[in-house]
Amino acid sequence: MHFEYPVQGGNFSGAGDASSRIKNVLKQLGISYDTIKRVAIASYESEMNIVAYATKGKLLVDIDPGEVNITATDVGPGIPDIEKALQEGYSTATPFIREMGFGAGMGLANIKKAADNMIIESVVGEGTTVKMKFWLS
Amino acid sequence: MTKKELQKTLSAETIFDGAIEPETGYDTVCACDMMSELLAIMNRTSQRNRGIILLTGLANPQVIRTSELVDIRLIVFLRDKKPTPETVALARKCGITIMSTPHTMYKSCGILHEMKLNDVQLETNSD
Repeated sequence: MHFEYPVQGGNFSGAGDASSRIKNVLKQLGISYDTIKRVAIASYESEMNIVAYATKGKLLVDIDPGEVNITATDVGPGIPDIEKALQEGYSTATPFIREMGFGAGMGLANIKKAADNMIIESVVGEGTTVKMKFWLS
Repeated sequence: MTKKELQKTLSAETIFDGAIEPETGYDTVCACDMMSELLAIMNRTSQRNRGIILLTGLANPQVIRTSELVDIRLIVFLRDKKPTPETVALARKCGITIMSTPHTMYKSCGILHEMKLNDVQLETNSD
């Protein structure tokens, strides 16, 4: 099963819509509470990253027997130093993003903890792709 | 604790009453201003979050969206903060009850601690 949800960069009022829809799909499929929560957390953090930093992007959802895969891909500035970006507390967020309650340098770390596996690919000046895998227990 | 009891205890005003009361009432408090911190906390608990009260100094739509995604259904804004119409509209859409108390975060936590409400039960960090 495959779904795609577009995410507009800078659209803070709509931030979270895509993750909310993904959560509802997983609920309708009867996926466990714990897995839905982990997917929602990782999906929402990645959606907020697109809204906060990128021009545009999308969330791709693939639901297969035994696993859920979410791919957050964007057209944007990219991440110059992925290792640094993964350190908790490191952030390039603007004051506006912080006012929203994000930008504390926890986003990628939260995704990594919520997902069973996470891969980040990024090209500076082009964009970033975050692939997240969740095993269904 | 019921919503009515919470409202009285914190001298709060109910701005929107959206959620059905959990069967076991509200028994847990999470006090948090950073939404990423809230997500990190919720990722470390296996508690069913519908019994959790969120106390926060933020009153923007992201608080509602974050709460919806982790199944928190009752938010109390601190220091008499009033949410924007956009925030109230999202709370209505998500079925989340929102209140506003004149108390600070410290005082609100103290009052609810006195009332024997619990902290979120965190599981051991496997990092």
